[in-house]
Amino acid sequence: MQIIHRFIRWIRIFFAIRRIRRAKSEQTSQTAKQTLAHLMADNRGLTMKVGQVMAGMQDDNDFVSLTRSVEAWPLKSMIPIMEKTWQCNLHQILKNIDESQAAASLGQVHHATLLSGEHVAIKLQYPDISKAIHSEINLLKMMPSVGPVKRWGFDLEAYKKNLHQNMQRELNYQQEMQHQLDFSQRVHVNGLHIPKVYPALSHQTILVQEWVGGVRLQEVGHWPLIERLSIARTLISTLFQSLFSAGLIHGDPHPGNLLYQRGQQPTVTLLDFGCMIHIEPERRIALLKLILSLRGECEQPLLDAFVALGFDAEKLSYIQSQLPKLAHILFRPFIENKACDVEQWHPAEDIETALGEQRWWFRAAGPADLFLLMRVFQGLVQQLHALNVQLPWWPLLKQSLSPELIIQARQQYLPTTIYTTTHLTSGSVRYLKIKIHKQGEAEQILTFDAIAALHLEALVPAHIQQELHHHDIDIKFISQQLREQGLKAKFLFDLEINHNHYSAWVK
Amino acid sequence: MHYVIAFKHQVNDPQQTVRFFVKYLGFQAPEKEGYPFYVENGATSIIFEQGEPQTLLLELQCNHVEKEAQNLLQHTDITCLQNTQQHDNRIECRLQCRDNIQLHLTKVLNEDDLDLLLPLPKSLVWNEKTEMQIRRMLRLVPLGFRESARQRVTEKAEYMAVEQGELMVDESCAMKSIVTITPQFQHRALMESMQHEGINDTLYLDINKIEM
Repeated sequence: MQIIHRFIRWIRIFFAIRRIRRAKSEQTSQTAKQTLAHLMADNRGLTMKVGQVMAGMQDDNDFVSLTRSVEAWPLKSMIPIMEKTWQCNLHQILKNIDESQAAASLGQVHHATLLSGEHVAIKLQYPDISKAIHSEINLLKMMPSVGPVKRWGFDLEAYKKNLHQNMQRELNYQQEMQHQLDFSQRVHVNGLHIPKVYPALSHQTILVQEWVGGVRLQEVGHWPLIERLSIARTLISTLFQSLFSAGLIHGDPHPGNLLYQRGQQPTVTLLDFGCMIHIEPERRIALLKLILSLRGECEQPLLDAFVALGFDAEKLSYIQSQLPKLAHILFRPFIENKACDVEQWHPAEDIETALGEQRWWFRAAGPADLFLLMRVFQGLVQQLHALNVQLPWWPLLKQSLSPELIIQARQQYLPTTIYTTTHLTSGSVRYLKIKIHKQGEAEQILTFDAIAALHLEALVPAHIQQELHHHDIDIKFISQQLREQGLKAKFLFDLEINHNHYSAWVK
Repeated sequence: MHYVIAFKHQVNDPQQTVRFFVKYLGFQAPEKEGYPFYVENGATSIIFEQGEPQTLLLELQCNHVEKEAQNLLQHTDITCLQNTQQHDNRIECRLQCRDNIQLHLTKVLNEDDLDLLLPLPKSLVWNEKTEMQIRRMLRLVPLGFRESARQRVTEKAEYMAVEQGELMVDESCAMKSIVTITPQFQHRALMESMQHEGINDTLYLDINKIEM
């Protein structure tokens, strides 16, 4: 029953998203966004998580309600859960406990005072949320590969698996407590505060930690420049140190998970260590080496560095000549020896301009877990934007790492990538050309690396593939033949359907 | 982009007007087929035709408005329409010439003319005294390069400050930065400027390398 209920909710959310996309006026779009935000907030669980991703780090959009408090469950309904878990009367542990003022996607937080007088935050998982999440995950598993996901060969299964694992981790508060302890031991940044946890009182569905006050990002935007700069430095250094030194990154940096305090040394308190990203030492070194090579501090073929980061070599090989341009766009804040103006850094748009449709090769080549890391960087950029400050990234990165790590990265050998398709290309073949001439429209000729002809099915839209199939042209078969026989200059197909002309050739 | 503005203008006596433009305003009158009364100065081309005179307003930019105006006013064909005046960031003098032609002699005032010290494009907090010193010292840089120098000195000083773990730019970072971006041959002038500002130049400049 629950799965049906949640399925219907997802359908409503789908239509709300479609309404936003099709909105012709700003007002319609705004109303549709508010509806979507309410639908998501009402649903808690996975949908609310998705909403939090949509909210990103901005503290002033329609999805912010998802990162702030949604209506919490009354305390009286949560007391039996705590007493059952602790196997004692509440008054044997707590002096008092307040109604929750902060409900989130998987649980809600209550302020309480221990018998010792210490103020604590008790995070309680919603009853049955685990079942709801599993239902939604099962629904997600049924999601078909369509659109760009299919055309460019995204590893959707890896994304689904990643999401599933993350949600499972987030539902385990004991694991979250362990992450919080690990993070506080491994990441030491001036101005960063990780709340102390109470292991004896924490369980699978209850997490007890130090109560920390503070304000939200929106308010920090009005603080004096020197304090905003200090906050920004803490945020940047935290990400750099956790990524490169600890390999353990807080993967859910939405506004609800950060609190700020003023003082001689302004403080950032990081909350909710449920969603963590683990990056293995080899990949951290590869990323650092990639940055060093882009700064001209060592030599490193970019393809090998991306492959060492977990990218798919074959897909990247189709855009190999574009990799330097792409890397310079992506890593610009690390390359420039000046304060990074995040207002002027738009990697997604710049990559689209530079690579056009071929950008999908890059996206499809990326490992699923990097999606979360990209989201963390996006969050940082949005925080810096809200703080309205600019800082140079490279000196902060250097300060976040030990000099030995930089030397190690410089000297590290990254294996040379063998592309699985190299033997198929002959030196004289360079391009795949696809010509589309629709009646009454200008002729379009799309140019790709010749190697793309080995995966025509990823390039040709499904409806055109069907049309071609009706005329006995099977592009999967054509690609298969090319893979078997090697790439040579030749016409692949040439067809006219209802006065529309389609042709493709390799030259 | 380089371009020439060309237009036609009606006057009573085109021949006289062509002579006026050549003699007083430095135009040339090359032969141009089909256009007997034609003048140009490299940026503007005017074709004069005989007809009912219309008002023609020409803005001529020059460095010394008053001096140029006095020179032109020595000719009987030219009278003063409005004396030299300053409006915000420009000086202007309006002259009336023959055939309803008005000349507006103008000079757009730069930061030096206006005695302005433009702010630095800062990202960090700067020591107030140091910032003013740098703003004054940047006057050493020729105007054409100053905007770029202002940008570079600020970026460099802030980068050095962050490298040292600071979020405020102090004298040391600012002076090291201006030394870095200043060409060697200007270090002597820079040294004098530092001394003028009461800064210990020996901390930042190598006296042995300065051409005396």
